[in-house]
Amino acid sequence: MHLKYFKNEILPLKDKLFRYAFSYNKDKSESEDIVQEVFIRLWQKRKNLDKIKNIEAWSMTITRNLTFDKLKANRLEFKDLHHIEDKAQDVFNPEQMVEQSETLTGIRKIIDSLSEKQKQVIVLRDIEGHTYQEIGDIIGIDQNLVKVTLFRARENVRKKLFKTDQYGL
Amino acid sequence: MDYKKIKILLEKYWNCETTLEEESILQEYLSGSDIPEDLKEISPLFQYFKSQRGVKVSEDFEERVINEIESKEKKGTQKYLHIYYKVAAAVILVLFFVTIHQRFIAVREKASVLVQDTFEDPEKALEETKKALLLVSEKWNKGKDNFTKLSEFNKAEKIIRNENL
Repeated sequence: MHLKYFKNEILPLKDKLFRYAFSYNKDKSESEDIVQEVFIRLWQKRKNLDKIKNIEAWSMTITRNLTFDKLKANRLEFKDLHHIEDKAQDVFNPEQMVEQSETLTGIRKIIDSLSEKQKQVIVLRDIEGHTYQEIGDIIGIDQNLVKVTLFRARENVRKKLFKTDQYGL
Repeated sequence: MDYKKIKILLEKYWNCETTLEEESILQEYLSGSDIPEDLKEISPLFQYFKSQRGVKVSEDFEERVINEIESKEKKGTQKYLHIYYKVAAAVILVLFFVTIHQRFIAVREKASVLVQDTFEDPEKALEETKKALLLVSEKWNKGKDNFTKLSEFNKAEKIIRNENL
């Protein structure tokens, strides 16, 4: 694989991988470091890339693993939303901040309150647009289980969304 | 998009029966501005999904990755170069010692040829040694005769000196 191919075919995955890392890490700089590490590993593996069935799914898996390793290293609790919320502001410019109004922040809180698996599945499907098969490959579960998990995730979101709306929370 | 169709799609969405294309239609419609009243409560969710897709890495990110890769490649090449130098030095050293060793063997063989026995039968060797010693003694005696003449000459010299005193 030449650098040109790498630039044209692999590097465009950067935002997708970054969003995935960022949805857990909430630290822009650390999330970028994770994605950079993923690309370096991809480059080092370039001679064997044809053996990888789906490069995007493979990259996502590596991003996921590195993100969780980093979280473990940081001893950061997923549910510690108060701690990570402040960090999350860094990625949005003032204009986007306005857009990220209270409503969207509320949705983010709902998504973050889901179980780890449910959050992973809903992020990969509804934000990144992956198929059930791809999601299964990325997080290492059967695609039927992906569908069940997604169903529960959406159901939880729906319930919390209507509850929020009802009580204005 | 037909309102009824959207309602059906939304129901399918909650039941995880929508395809990616249908979800894309839903997202496009529900994150827009012209949304019927009863769907407004659900639209923030799709607006959130859309806004998340706008989250991007820093502008200089690609450049940083490329620089990192290039610097790693450079280091890798230098590392290989060092290995080649080491291999070359080792080969030269081995060749040097092999040459020295061969020379040493050659010299030793030559020396062993010099001290090699010329006779296998000890009696014959003794015979030959006797012959050689006889020859030496014969020559020695011949020389000794000449020394006797010399001593006569010395005596004569002494007498002459005494007369002069």
